[in-house]
Amino acid sequence: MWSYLRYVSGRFAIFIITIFIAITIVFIVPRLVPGDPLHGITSKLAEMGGSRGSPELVEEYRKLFGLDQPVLTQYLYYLKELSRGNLGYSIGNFPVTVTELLMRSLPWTIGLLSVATVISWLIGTFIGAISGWGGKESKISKVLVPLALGLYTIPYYILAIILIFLFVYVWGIFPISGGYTPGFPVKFSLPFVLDVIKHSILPALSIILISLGWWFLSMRSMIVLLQGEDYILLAQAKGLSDRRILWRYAFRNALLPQVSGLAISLAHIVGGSIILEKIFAYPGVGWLLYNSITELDLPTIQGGVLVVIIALTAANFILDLIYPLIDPRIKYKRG
Amino acid sequence: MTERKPILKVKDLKVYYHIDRGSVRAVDGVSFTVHEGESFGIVGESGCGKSTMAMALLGLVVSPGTIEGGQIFLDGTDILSLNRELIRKIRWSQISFIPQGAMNSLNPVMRIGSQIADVITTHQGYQPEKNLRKRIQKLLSTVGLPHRVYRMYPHELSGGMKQRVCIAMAIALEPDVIIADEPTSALDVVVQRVVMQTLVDVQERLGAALILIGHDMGLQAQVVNRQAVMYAGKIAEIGEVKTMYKNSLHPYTKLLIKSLPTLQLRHDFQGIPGLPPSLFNPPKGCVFSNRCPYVMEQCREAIPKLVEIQPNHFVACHLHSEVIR
Amino acid sequence: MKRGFVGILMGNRKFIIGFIIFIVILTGAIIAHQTIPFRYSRTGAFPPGLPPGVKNILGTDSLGRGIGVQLAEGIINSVQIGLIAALIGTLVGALIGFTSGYYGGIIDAILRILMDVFLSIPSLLFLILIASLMRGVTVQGMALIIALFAWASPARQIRAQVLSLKERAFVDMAMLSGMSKMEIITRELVPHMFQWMSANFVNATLAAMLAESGLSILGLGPQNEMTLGMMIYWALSYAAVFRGMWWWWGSTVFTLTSIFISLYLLHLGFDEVINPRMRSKI
Repeated sequence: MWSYLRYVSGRFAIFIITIFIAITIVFIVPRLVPGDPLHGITSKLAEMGGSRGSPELVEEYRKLFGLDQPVLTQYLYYLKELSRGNLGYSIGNFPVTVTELLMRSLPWTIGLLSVATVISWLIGTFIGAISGWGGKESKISKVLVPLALGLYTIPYYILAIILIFLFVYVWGIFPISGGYTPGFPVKFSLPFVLDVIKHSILPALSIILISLGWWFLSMRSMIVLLQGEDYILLAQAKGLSDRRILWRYAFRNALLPQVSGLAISLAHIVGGSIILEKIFAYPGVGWLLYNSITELDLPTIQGGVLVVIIALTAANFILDLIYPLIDPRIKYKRG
Repeated sequence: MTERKPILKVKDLKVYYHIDRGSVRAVDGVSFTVHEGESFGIVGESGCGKSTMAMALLGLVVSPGTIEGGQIFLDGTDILSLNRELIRKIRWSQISFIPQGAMNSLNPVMRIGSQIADVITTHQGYQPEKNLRKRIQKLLSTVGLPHRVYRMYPHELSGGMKQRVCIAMAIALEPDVIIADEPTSALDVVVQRVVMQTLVDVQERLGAALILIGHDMGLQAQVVNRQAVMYAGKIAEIGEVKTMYKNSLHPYTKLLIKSLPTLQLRHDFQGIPGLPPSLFNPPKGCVFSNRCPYVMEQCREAIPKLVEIQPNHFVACHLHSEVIR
Repeated sequence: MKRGFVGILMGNRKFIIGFIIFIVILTGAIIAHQTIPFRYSRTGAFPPGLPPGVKNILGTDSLGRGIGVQLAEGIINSVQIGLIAALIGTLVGALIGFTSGYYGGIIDAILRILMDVFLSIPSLLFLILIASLMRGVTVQGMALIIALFAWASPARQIRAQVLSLKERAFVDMAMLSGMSKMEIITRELVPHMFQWMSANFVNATLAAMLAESGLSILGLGPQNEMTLGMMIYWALSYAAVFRGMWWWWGSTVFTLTSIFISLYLLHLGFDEVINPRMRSKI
């Protein structure tokens, strides 16, 4: 028990440090760009015709940035506001706060990504295990392996474009964009849920088909590698059935690298989904970020980047907690 | 010595590895018999084919290795003629295995108890957990391990403990034959003794035959009744341990014994000059001919057959086939 | 030693195929760029939305510009960004990785944490942050921004290599007491480093080109110069898919995919050559 606690506190420390570094970088970067960071905002406001309470807005930001004070004070002020959950106001949507915007879009992104990732990881891992155990001779493997190799190298958006071309333009099965049909009553009714699903299928497929390739290949090569292990040999000598050896001896040992591979690839998946959301106009954090970029809504950009990093690091931390349950040796290793 | 029923009879077994460069004759016409309850040692230097033979006895020869010929009679049945499913059934229940280094032979992510339970449920059907636990814990105590090992993971155990777990696992189904492939070579000397002792105790109590494979003749001599000396894929000599030491016939055996250190005689060590022949292209005649101090003309021409020179003492050497003729 | 390595690479099938595809695309682009008249890329050079025809092999876009010309320019610029970012990233990364592995201690601890953070955070996010702050990026500017994140992976790999070699160097030292540490380092480390760095360079190029296209699709790419990512951006902005202008988005998608696959094949080739040799050496 103690070793587990020690392990958890170690990972937690890393979690905190990473977030701290991220927060700091998000703070520093805008200040590295020459010029008054507020200038970008005020000039944008001037473009918009200076409407919607701009003097108050500028004052808010002067306070938020504390520009008349030394950098360290600014930093501390920034941290303080952050701990209160205050990420500032969205410029294009004043008086909507950044936090509100994020709360609206996060569920979409988390929903899409978690479903797509879990599905592709599960399918890829299982098929990969079976394919790896069967060896190079199996006919299915001969087809699946090159297919997976070809798929996983291309970024999500390329597949997305092709899918859109086929399923929206040519065959017209799926809707063009969005998270749901505009005007649809947003509540937990069956028609709404179905509508949401219909809108998420293409974005999800773009992620699933490509990620599948990667999970398949990595699990497969892991299993193939494991086949030479001594404990597999002994399991065979014990007269255990092939199935039992695959799932209880090989699979369970290959699982840990697969799960840690999941943690490593999360960053990549998130990056790719931002672009996907733009292409599909899917109302998640990526779409929010994209729009903030075009509108130069700096607070939202910063807030969005920060939240995504925190979410990712948290996901990594949760996965860290799962490892010892899969592989009992983890607690005892250092680092 | 009472006549014991033969439980394992190997007849002219040949196991070759076919690779790009050619075929490696790892086991090249090996024959011997092991009797019920007997402890039988197979000794030879690295690369002589003893591990390959262990695999063959378990039906675990995988490509690029193939069984080129011969028969292995386990309690009367030629296991080489059985299909995969039948072989799987006799594995462990009739013939079990203790691997060389238990370091990596135990599944790292399974508890010890589950790994032993695996064999029981596979071969004897489902059992309620309580029964399994009691039975396995009893097994563990016969090898001197505390009950709590049942719930532990392999990495929590020391090398000696892991090896003893393997012993416990090997006797779980009370097989007729236990093959132990250098079970103590990865351990330090003190632990070696404990493990070896455990193995012998267990084997005697069970009445199973033990085939002990190794390269340490001295260690084996303390444990086994009969011994076979293997060289370059062939058997050189088989006999009772005392006979082998007092009156070994094969030149290789004699040289092996001379190279063993003893406390009494302090003499210069005699290694065996030369190297074992390539198993790709074994020499035309006797495989030992290029290193044998007694080599004769015909040794290079004809392969000597394994012949029973004296009761229960077999040797494959032209020096002694002369006597018969 | 170097010649042996390159020789083996050339014999590897995956490497050769990838290499050929990449070079063919690149040279094709350069030739096209030199031969096709510049005015073809001006707005209104041709009637907009023309499918591929005799006069313009790849058709025109919604602004009447020749797709072929744009593609050529796009390839050159995208590859340029990829190579520059990869070069900087690999060199800086190798330096940091070497320092971290060689000196150990506190320096290693700090650098390692830095590496881990940079690797676990999606670079795209920060790139978005940085790129959105800069008004008007150039091709070179983009390369520099991407290079900011390109160092982490090479750094980690080089560090691992240095650590394993450090151990061997000390073992060797115990045996060859006459040799100075420097000699061992230059004779053992440098050839290994070269191999690993070239492998890292290929990976970094792939990653950088992926980053560039990703950023550009979001509209953060160079405005005045064409890149492959920007081409997709423009195509999407003008709803090329729904207008059936398959030559516009299709040619770009095809080119990008081919480049990615070719770079990936190069990576696989390197992997096959370097890893089995590493294993057989140990």
